[in-house]
Amino acid sequence: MMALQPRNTRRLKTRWTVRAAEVISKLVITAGGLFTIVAVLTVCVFLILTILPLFKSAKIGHELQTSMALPPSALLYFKVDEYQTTACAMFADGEVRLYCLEDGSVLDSARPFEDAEVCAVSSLGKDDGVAIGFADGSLRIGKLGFVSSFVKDEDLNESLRELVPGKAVKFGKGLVTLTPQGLYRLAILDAEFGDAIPSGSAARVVHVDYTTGPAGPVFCALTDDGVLYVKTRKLIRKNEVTGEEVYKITGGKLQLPSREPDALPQFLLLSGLGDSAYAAWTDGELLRIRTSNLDRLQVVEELNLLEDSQAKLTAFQFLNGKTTLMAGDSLGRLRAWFTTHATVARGDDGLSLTMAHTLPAADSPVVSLSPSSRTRMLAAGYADGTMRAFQVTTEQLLAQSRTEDAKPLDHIIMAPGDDGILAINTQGLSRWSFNPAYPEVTMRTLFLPVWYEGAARPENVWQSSGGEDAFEPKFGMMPLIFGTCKATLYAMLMGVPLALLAAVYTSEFMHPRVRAIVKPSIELMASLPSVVLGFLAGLIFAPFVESHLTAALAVLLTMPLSFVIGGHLWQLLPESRRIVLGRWRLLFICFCLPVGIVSALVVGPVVEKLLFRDPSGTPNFRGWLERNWGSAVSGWVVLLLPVCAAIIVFFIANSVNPRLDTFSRFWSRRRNAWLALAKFLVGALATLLLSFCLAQGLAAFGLDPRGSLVGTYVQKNSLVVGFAMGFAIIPIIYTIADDALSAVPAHLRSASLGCGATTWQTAIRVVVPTAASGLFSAVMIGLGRAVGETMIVLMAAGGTPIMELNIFNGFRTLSANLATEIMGPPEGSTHYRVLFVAALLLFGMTFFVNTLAEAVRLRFRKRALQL
Amino acid sequence: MFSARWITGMAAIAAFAFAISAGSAADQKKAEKEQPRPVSVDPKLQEYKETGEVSGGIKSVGSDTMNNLMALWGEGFKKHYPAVTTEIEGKGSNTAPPALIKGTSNFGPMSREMKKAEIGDFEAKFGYKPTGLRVAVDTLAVFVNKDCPVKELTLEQVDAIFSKNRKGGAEKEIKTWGDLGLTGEWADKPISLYGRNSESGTYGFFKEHALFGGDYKDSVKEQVGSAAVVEAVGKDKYAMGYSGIGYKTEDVRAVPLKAKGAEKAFEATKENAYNGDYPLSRALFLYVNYKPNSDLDALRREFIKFVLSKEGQEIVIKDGYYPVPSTMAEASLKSVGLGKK
Repeated sequence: MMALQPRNTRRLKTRWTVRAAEVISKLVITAGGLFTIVAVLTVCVFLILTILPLFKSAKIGHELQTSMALPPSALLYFKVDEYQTTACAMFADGEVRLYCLEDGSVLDSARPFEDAEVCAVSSLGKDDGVAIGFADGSLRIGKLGFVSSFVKDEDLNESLRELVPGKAVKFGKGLVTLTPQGLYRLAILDAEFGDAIPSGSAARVVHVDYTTGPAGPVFCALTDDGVLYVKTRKLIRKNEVTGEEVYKITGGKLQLPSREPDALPQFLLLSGLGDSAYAAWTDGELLRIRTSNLDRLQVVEELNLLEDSQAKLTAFQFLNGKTTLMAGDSLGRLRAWFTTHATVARGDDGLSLTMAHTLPAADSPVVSLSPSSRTRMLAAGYADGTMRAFQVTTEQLLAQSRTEDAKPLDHIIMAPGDDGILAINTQGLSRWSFNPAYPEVTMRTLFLPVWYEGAARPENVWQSSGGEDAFEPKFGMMPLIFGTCKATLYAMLMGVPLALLAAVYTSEFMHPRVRAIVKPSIELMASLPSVVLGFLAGLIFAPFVESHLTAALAVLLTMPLSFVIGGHLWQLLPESRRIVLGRWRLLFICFCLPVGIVSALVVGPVVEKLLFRDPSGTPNFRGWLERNWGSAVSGWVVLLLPVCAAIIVFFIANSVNPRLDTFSRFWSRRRNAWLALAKFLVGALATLLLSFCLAQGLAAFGLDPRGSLVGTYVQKNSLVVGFAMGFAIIPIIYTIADDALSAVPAHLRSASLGCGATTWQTAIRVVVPTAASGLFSAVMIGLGRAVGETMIVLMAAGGTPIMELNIFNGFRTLSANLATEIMGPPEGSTHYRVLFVAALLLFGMTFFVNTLAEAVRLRFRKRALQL
Repeated sequence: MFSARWITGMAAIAAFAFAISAGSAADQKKAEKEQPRPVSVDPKLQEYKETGEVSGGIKSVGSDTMNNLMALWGEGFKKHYPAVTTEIEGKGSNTAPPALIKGTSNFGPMSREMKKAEIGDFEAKFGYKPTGLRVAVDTLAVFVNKDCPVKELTLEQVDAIFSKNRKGGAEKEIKTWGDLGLTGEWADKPISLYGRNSESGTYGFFKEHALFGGDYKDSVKEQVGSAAVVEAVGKDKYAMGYSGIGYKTEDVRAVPLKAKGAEKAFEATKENAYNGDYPLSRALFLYVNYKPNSDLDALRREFIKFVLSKEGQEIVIKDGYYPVPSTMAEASLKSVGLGKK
């Protein structure tokens, strides 16, 4: 062209449009690239900014002292309302008072029991319920708390109209506060007690405790003659017209042993379900009493909470939920105990009380404890006037402060909203504002085993929310990370060999015309949305595999075998025929596919019959997996087959083939084909034999694959996900691998073939090593896809956050967890932020894998260019 | 080459179509289950009377258990007021409080009561507590496959099946159907467990009442919806799962349950739910943001009246749950200032 237009040869300047286009495209590309980097960084920064508050420490305000009008008789009960404006108290002389917290004045007072002496009061914990024990041996249960309502506009008086938000004013017998939203909230005393319930004796009641079990209220009392009474109240009739309720009270009693130096226990607690009572003496001796059968109260466990004799038990209280016991002693130590199902139970009921947490110790005796009513926090008051707040699960000291007067904090109260801590001593009331931040989460609880309530040992658990206030959130990331790795592993096991071998086959052996059809069709597989794959896997494939389990597993064996045998049979065809039929070779191989499937249907049940027969003689593979019967040998034989096959192949290639070659190289092609077939059959037999011997050996060492590699069969399991996700990652691995192989310069192939190597030798010894880094990057990109894959694991993996290698059970990945849970938690909550930790982890994992893949790919491109 | 692409394309389309048709088959199954039940509404409930013009949008975010119920109520309500639009999202009860607080919904259906922390968050923004209306009764059911021969279960057994702590007091863990006394082919089959995801109120309610506050075993497969739980139990012969009774299909059976200390096991029926004999009966709530001493806007007022009317409660029955007695309806209406004057 140029030669025909000599005029143009002289114009050396590029046209301005071209230059402009160049500049513009350069700008656009740079901007695009920068934008991508900025976008990725923004995501990263956003994730980190959301997570950071999790590690903020708790804040405690300055002490606020108020003098309080306290009567001479002892304070037995003190409760603060959730807005921290009023408090109600009960004293030993039976007086009930409503206090204004701002100035400590008394708003209302009452004497509901006239002159009866109150000896013990216990609160229900979750509501306003209280149980009261009297000197005459009677009990009452009732309500002592607050009623809050809103003052109607027409009832507002002068003093209320002048109220500013945050301030309170007396109104009748109650207190009115103006909320920031402009509502006048009135709090009044709510004290309502039922009829006296005789404990059964006239002895003075020393301790009471009260709870609501599944079948109604349960309460217990200890009288000063050492008898424990446990009672339940059941509603038997309710008059719909008058609203009158008739209750039936049933109960049982138990004489507690008398001990020295204190005859009576110092503490009595009743568990949240009302099924056990705990009586503790000051020397740390504790009795656990089973109260689920009221006709037969029974001491089931006896132990000492303080191993060293010089310490005294000075505070004993439940944590929220009334299951975990907190024991504080005179040495300033605070420890958490709960019952667990230990392997060797100390108690007669199969449970043992176990010390699970030790909180940071102080120098002064613990004198009072108060659990939070919605979380696992605990406020403790010490004899030297120190107040400390803990998170029990994480064993963290969240905050501490000390009163100026340094008098013992006889009563400490964690405000119902966890937003304040109050303490009462002889000097009056001390208040601290409190912001616990996110105490449930530390680096340790995210990634290391944590001892959760009721567990026998510290564990990695993910259980993010429950429907009740007493729920202990479990934010262990490990099960999710493990699930992600497990999903990736099985998907890679399934997808990588298929995709890589397919790439080698299409690029090296397949006729280009066929390849032009095959490659795009495999790439088209990638367009299948993963939700469809997940749907097929979870709802169709999983039940199918479950009902044809042995056949499905046998396919993994018979499929490759049928292809190999097919290949050998092809070699056996007479040369003339083979050349004529050459173009149908692929079709012939395809024929092996149904053969493999059909033979699996036959082989599977046969293997099950041979190896996995239950004691009654029926084949039962799933039963064998349960580990109740049968030996480990049969499982090992099957599991070791691939390993043994690899060993045998290696052995034949390295030791047998060179020797055979010395004389078989002069044989006819047909004879060589027979030899190859014989070699294959002998090899197969040898594999079987070897795996059997190895299995015997492993089993003799007491190793059993059940419980680790295999185990209980679950319908939605890793095998199913492996198939489905393998299917999802095959196209991407295949495409990149095929491109890498095709990029190997043709002159290398020509040289190899020219030297007399076969296509196979060329492919394996020349092409694949040259393209190795490309193949590696293909695998890594497949890995990146598998790590982040969501829909398939969501629909087909069952979603159980467990950490077991077992291929026959499910798992939960980081991505599936995000997909199920991100909708639930309110923005800014602990759970919400922890989910962002999961997101960051996922981001980190895929980012790392993809970057690695890209780095390797770049290197490979450079090398390929040099060739 | 073109033809091969075409074939694979067609294969992909076929797979799609298959997936979609299988999905709609499941829907059909759900439609079939709505067979007549011998349950009727309380005759003392009020008839619903239209009042004037009502328009606006019902936006409901919350319970999955009540998802169909909300949709059916929405449809019924639209018959009276065609100008009303409905938008119903049911991803679990945990999603209800945040949506009410943010104001992205005007109704928050929940299958459990709100937790203190949730109420606290609400109150921090509005200065008053959210109002929960009891709008239907559910018997949370333990489902097994229709072929499963289990006759009844005690709550302790349910606890030992689903929980790793066994706070109900069972001595031993129950892993296989044999542990429940089944023989033959069932004896050594492990019980395959299905449950709801943790955003669900059903998850929380079951945990509190059937597991006595204990923790679920890690092997409970968490499904994103109640329909998925029931579907899985229907497909998995050795499965057990829990969900609201409204999701029952022909492939599953609700097992009669026996409470701790009760004399016998009770079926999940209306009577047993009302008198509390069925141990897992519960109220279904509709939470609203009602400012005390004020009047509700026309849309919410009329919708609540509709839900608690005879017509609304007929819909509850149609969806497989049980209607509220008139006393409960009256109390609910009163709590939002709609009680009888």
